[in-house]
Formats: sequence, C-alpha cells, structure tokens
Amino acid sequence: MRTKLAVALVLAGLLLAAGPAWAHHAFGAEFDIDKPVSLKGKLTKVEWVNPHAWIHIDVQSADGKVVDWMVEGGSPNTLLRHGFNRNTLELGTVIVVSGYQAKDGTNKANGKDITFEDGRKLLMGSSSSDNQTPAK
Amino acid sequence: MMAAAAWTVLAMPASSQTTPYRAPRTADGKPNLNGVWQAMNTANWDLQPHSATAGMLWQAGAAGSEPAGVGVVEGGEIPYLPAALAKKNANYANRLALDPETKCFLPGVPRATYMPFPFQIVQSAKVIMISYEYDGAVRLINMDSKKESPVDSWMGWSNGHWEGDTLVVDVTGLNEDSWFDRAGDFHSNKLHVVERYTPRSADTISYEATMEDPQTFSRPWKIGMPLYRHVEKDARLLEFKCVPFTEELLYGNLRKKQANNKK
Repeated sequence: MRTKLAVALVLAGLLLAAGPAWAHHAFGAEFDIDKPVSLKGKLTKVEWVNPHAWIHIDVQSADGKVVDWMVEGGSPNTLLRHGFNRNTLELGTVIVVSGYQAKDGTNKANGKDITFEDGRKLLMGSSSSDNQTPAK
Repeated sequence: MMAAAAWTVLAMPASSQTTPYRAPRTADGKPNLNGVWQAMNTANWDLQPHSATAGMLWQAGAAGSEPAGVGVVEGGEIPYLPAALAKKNANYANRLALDPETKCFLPGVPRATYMPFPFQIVQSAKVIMISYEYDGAVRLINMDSKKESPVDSWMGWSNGHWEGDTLVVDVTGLNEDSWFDRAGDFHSNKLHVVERYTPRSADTISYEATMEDPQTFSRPWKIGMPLYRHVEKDARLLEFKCVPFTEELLYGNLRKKQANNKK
C-alpha cells in the first residue's frame, strides 16, 4: 500500500512539474511573442470580466492620431492579488503598458505590466507576466 | 411630452392614517421586510414623465409600445450636466441596440427594483438578501461593518443600516455600463446610490433612491415609488434567465442560413 502511495505521489509530482506548458495556454494562438509593444496612454475603460480582464487605453500615435488599444490582463481575482483595484485603475490615468501585440495585427495586446507616472509598476497577471517565456 | 413642471411631487399616494404605520418585527426587533415585492409603474421605460409612444419594433405593433408615466423623479427632470445630456440623447436615439437590457445584462441599482418582475427580500440580522426574478440578479446587503468593493460590478456592493423603521442602503462599486431605464438614462462608475425602504402598510413599502454622480449630474436627485407585496397564496419568484433569449441577436449572424435572414 505504501509503495503504491509513493508511486502515486511521484507520478503526481512529475505531472505537476509540467506546469509551464499549462500556464501559457492559448498565448501563442492569439498573441505574438515577437511583437513586443510599449503603449503610453490614458485609461478609458476597465472591463472586470472573467476569464480575462481587459483595459482600454487611448494611445497617441506618431502622426497625432488617437488610437484605442485593448490589453488583456489576468482575471479580476488575479489583478486584485497583484495590487489592482477600482481605485488603482482610475479612468483618465496615464499609464505605460508593456506587452505583446495580437497575431492578427489589430490594436490588441497581452499585457505584461503597467507602469504609472509616479514610477510604480504592477504585473498584469496574464500569460506573459510570469517568469517563463510564453510559447510561440 | 408632459411638462416636467406639472409633476413636482413624488408619485407617492397620501396616507389616510394620522399615525405612522408600525410593521411587525423580526426576531431581532427590526421591521419585517421579508416577502415577495414588485413595483407597479413604467419607471423601467422612462424615469421621467413621458407620454405613450410607439415601440422600437414596428413589427410588435401596439403590443411592443410604451405606456405613459407621470414619472418617478422628484422635480420631474434628471439634472444632467450638458455633456452628459448629449450622451443621454445619443443613447435614446439608439436605445434598442445600446440598452444593456436588450442583451440581458444585469440591471444594476436602482433599476433592478423597478424592472417589471418581482423580487424577494430575505432578511437576517447580519445580511439582507434581495433576490430579483430578472435574470437571477442578487444583492447581499451587508448589515455588519462597512465593506468597500475592490472592483466595479453590475450590481455593486451594498452596505445597510437601520434608521428607525427605515432600511438605508448605501450602494457603490457600480460599473458604468448599466442604464437607469430604457430611455438611455445612464451614469458613470462614480455613481453612489442611497436607498430607503420604509414599511408604510402591511403590504406596501415606501421606496426612495437618491443618486449622486458628480461626473454625470449637476446635483443629487431622487426617485420614489411604492413597492407592493405579492399577496397571492403561492407568491414566489419564477425563473427568468434571459441570456439564451439573446442568442439569435448576438450570434444569429454566424449561422450559415440565418433564422432572421429574409432572403
């Protein structure tokens, strides 16, 4: 019985060690690790929805036009654990978002982290926020 | 449109009693608000005074048209800031598409109170639950120490306390996506609602809600209406889960041959 339990535990351990493959499900399907972006703009909308919260920012492009970008974060629960709440993410705040653009080239990105004007930095809790590099 | 000036009183019937009504008590000595209740007015169509008018879908004819209402807003008019009034008018012009009710989103507060569906108050000392038949919306009114919502949500977070026989509920954390009615009346996520539920007779509650939102309105404003108890023997909430009813609207265009395709 003890041996069976030991074998079961070892197997479970091996399965859990395959963590990285699970942590980045679907990143490569939608976002491009080779298209990093740094977006500076005013926060216009926060969608506190599952499975991924989305933040919208108005980014001023080089030719002066204002473009709306939407950036994926973790779930609302994950964002809360990373220090975000409705007061941190006040509409109108200027933030810099670093992340990776969508594969289809639209103004959509997977958000890695947010830097505020006072220098504070918060991780967005999405696939690209972890230490491991997401799969292509 | 009826002149707003003609309707300066809340739509509250005068009581014939000289002494205020005293409701039966719960075990902890508070007025007993348990029961199934419903508003009976056209506030969900339009909070402000309005005439009867044709509906948004001509195919529904009279059945889909809008009944008149004397309005439930104290003073008649909602005091929009100029930019917000422009947005309200834009909302109204495209209300069938833009009203979150069309897509079965949760109604928010106070709209949940006057949707044309019953709701049930389940009362205990530390928590009062209001369960709405409309789309299974639920609010837990925290009667204990005050809690503030970390995120915005459709139904917000409610903290309550008693002032005499009145249940006073403070609601914050409402997202900016809900509307007050089908007429495009809206708010920002800074909205702060204070509700007051006062038993006025064995089977009616006097309901008031004060809205404060400096981003949208020039001053706080108030609505009021009676809530009527469902007194039939088997009064209870039924199920109205409307998300499946929006399937054709949201996804019908993905079908190869659309049900709503007349070609």
